Amino acid sequence: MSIVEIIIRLIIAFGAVFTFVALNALFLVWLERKVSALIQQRLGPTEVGPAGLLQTLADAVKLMGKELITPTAVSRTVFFLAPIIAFLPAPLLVAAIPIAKGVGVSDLNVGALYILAISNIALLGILMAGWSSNNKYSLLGAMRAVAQNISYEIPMLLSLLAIILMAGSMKFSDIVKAQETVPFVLLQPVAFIIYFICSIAESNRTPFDIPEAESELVAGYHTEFTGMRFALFFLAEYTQVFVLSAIVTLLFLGGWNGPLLPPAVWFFLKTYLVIFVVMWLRWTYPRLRSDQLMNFNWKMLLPAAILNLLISSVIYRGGFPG
Amino acid sequence: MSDSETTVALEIKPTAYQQQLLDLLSSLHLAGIQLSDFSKTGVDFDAVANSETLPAAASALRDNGFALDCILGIDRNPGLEAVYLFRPFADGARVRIRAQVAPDRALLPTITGIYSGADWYEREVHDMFGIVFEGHSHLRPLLLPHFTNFHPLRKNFHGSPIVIPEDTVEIPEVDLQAAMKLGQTDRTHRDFFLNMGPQHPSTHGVLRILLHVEGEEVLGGRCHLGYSHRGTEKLAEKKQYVQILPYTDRMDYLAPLNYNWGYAALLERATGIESTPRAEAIRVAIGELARVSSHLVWLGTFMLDLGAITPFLFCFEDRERILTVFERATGQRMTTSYIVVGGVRNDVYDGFIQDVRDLLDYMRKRLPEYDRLVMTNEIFLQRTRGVGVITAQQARDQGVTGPVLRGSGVDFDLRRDEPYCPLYQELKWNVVVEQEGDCLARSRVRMREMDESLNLIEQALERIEEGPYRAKIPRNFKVNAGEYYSATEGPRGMVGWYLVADGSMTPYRLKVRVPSFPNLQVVESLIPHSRVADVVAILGSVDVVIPEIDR
Repeated sequence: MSIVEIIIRLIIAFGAVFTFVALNALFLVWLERKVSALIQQRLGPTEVGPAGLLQTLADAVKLMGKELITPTAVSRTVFFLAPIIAFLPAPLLVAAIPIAKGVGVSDLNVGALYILAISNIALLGILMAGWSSNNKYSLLGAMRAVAQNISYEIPMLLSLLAIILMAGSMKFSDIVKAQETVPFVLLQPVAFIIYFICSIAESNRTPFDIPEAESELVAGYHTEFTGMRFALFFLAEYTQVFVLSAIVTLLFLGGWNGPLLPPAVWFFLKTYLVIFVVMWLRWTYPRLRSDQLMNFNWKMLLPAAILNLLISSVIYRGGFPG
Repeated sequence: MSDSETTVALEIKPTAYQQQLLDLLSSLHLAGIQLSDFSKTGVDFDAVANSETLPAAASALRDNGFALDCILGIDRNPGLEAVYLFRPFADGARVRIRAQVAPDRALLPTITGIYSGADWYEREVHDMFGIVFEGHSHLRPLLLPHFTNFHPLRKNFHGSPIVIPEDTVEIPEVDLQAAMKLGQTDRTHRDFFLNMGPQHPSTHGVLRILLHVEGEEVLGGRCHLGYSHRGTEKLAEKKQYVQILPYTDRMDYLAPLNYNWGYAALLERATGIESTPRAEAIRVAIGELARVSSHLVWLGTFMLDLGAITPFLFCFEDRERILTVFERATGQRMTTSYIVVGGVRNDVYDGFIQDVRDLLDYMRKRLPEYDRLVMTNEIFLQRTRGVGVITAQQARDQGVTGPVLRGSGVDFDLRRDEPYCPLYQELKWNVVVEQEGDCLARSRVRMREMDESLNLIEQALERIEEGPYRAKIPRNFKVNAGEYYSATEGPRGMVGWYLVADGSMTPYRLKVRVPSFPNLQVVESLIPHSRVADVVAILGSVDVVIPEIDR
C-alpha cells in the first residue's frame, strides 16, 4: 500500500464516518420526534420536507447560526475543549463498527475492547463541561453522569465477557459469525438484558437520564452551552445511541445475519429496531433517582452479571459451538 | 337577611359539644368569649386574647386537636388586630381568637413553637401590618421584597411610589444562609447552596427554593415567595364586591371556578342571598369538572417532575376537552368569573348536559389508563413510596388541607364536613383517604378523587332542573357591617375567605386563606435529608400553585 493510497483511504474513511455521524443524528432526531409524537398522540414535525424529514436539518442550520455564548465565570480553555472531547469518540466508535462482512472502516481484532475503552472518553468531556461551566446544575449533572457511567461499565463489561467467551474472539465479524445458526440473545438472555439496560444507562436516556434530568437539573452538564457547542453534545449523544444499539445487534441479535435481504440491510434494520425500543422506553417511563440507580446496578445487575459469567464459563467451557 | 348582630352573645343554646368547648375556652383566661352563629358568620366561638394569654390558648387548642386555619391581620384604624382561626378536623367548630395591639407598639408573642404552620402566617402579617411576633426565629419579609419598610395593608398606606434602595437590590445571600442556621457548625467544604428557581422547570411558577446540599443530599432548604405578588387583598379594599370576582380567577389559575364559588359562597353567607337549585346543580357539575381538570394538570406535571413526559401530554389533551366545555358554558377557558352571588352568571348552553355526559364516558375510559401507565409503574412507586412523609399531627400543626391532608390519613373534606352546598349532602360520594402520608398516598388520593368527582358530576347533571339560574339581586349590593368567614374545598384544599364589611359597597378587608400556602410550607420541613430528586417529587406531590400563595 503506497502512501498515496493510505491517504486516499483515510480521506474516504473520514468522509464516510463523519457523513454517517451527521446523517444518523439527523435521522435519529427526526425518528425520536416521530416516535414520541406517535406515543403522545401527536403528529410531530410535518412541515419541513416530506413528513418533516428536513426539520432536523433546519434545526441544525439554526444551531449553526446561533451565537456561541461563553459565560464570564467559566474556565475558558476547558469550556472550549469540553464539547470537542465529548464529541471525539463518536466518529472513532462508528469507525470500528462493521455493518456487514468486510464492510466498514475497520474491523479490529479487539473491536469489543476498543469500543468500551473509547466510549469512556466522552465521559471526560462531560466532566470537563460540568466542571468548567461554573454552574452548580452542570456540576451536579456531570457528577451524576460520571458516577453512573463508571458504575454501569462493570456489569456491561462482564456481560460482554460472556459473549467473548462464547465467540472466542473480540473481533466483531467473528462474533457475528459465531451467531450464524443461533443468535446469542437466545443462548445468553441474561447477558442480553444486562447489556441492554447498561447501554441505556451509558447513553443517559430515560429511565436513567438523571445526568440531564430536566426537572431537577435544568439541562445538566450542557446547561451553559449554546449553538454548535450544544449541538456537539447532541451529536455525540445520538451517535452513542446508534453505536450502543449497533453493538447490541452485533453481540446478541446476530449482526448482519438474516435471510433474503442483503446483510447491511439486516444490520441497520436490527439496529434501528433496538433504537426504536430505546426511544419507546424513554417516552414511557419516569426517571429513577440517583441512589436507586446505583442500588440497582451494584445490588442487582452486578451480581447477576458475575453469576451469568460464571455459569456461562462452565457451560461453554470450550467455546461455542464447542 | 336579618339585621341582628353577627355575633350573638349566648343567645343560641349551646350543644353539649359547644358547652365543652366553651368550658375549655373559659379556662384559658380569655376575654369576651362568645358563641357565634355559624351559618351567618362562619365562626362558632369568639374570644379575645392578649400577649399573655395567647400562647397558652393556642397550646391548649392544639392539645385538643385543633388545627391552625389561618392567621390574618386587620387594621382597625387606630389599632391593629391579629385574628387566629382554629378548627379541629373531626368536628365543625371554628374558634376565632383576636389579639389587639397598638400600631406604635405592635408586639405579639409568636406561636410558631406551638403551631409550626404559624411561621409563614406570622411573617405575612408582619409584612402587611407590621405586627412584630416576638420570638419568631426569622421574621423577614415573606411576600414583599426584603428591603420593604412599609406595611401595605395598613389603612394609611396608599400605594405611594416605592423607592428601592440602591445598595440592597441584590438579596443578601449570607442572611438567607444564616437564617437557615446552617452557616455555623455543620458546614463542611463539600456542601454548597443551590438555587432552585425562581426560573426552574419544576417549581411550577415563580418559586425560589434555596437548597443547602452536600452532593446529592439536601441538608435543608428555604422557600422564597412573592415573585408574583399582586396585592390582590389591597386591591379588593378599593373595589366593589362584584368587581372583585375577576381577581378570584387569577389566584389559582388551574381552578378558577372553585375560587369563584368560594367568593360567591362568602358573599351569600354575608348577605343572606340564596342561590337557586338549578344554579347549585350547575355549580357542582362545573366545579367538580374544574377539580378534575386541576388534578389532571397535577398528574401531568408531577409525572414531568419525575421524568416521564408522555403522561403530561395525555393529561393536557384530556384537560383540553374539559376546558372546551368551560369555554362553551362560561365564555372563557381559564378566567371564567362564572359562579356569582346567587347563582351562575349565565345559564348553561343547550347540550351542556350531553357534552358533559360524553366527557364523563371519555374520562371513565381514561382514568384506568392512567392507573396502568402511571400508578402501577414500578419506577413511579420507587420514586414516591416512603418519600416526603407527612404525619397526621404534622399536617394538623402546619394547617395542611385538601388531598395532602387526606393522604396523611385525616378524613376531612369541607364539602362534607362544612357544607357550603346542599347537594354535597344529598349526592352519593366518598371522601378519599389514604394512610401513609407519602407522595404515593397523595397521588392515590387525587387519582381516586377524580373518580369521585365524575360520580358527583353524573348525579349533579340529573339535578339540573328547570328554574332560574340566578337569584334576583341588586346590581351593586351592600354587605351589612360584620365579619364573615367562609371556607370551600378547592382542588388543593381549603380556600377560606375572611371578610370584614363596614356596610358599604366595598370590603373593609378581604383575606383569602389559600390552600397552597400551608401546603408549600410543609415542604420546607420535608426536604432535610432527602435527595435533590426527592425535593422535586415532594414539591410535585403537594401540588402548589404559586400565584395563589403570592396573591
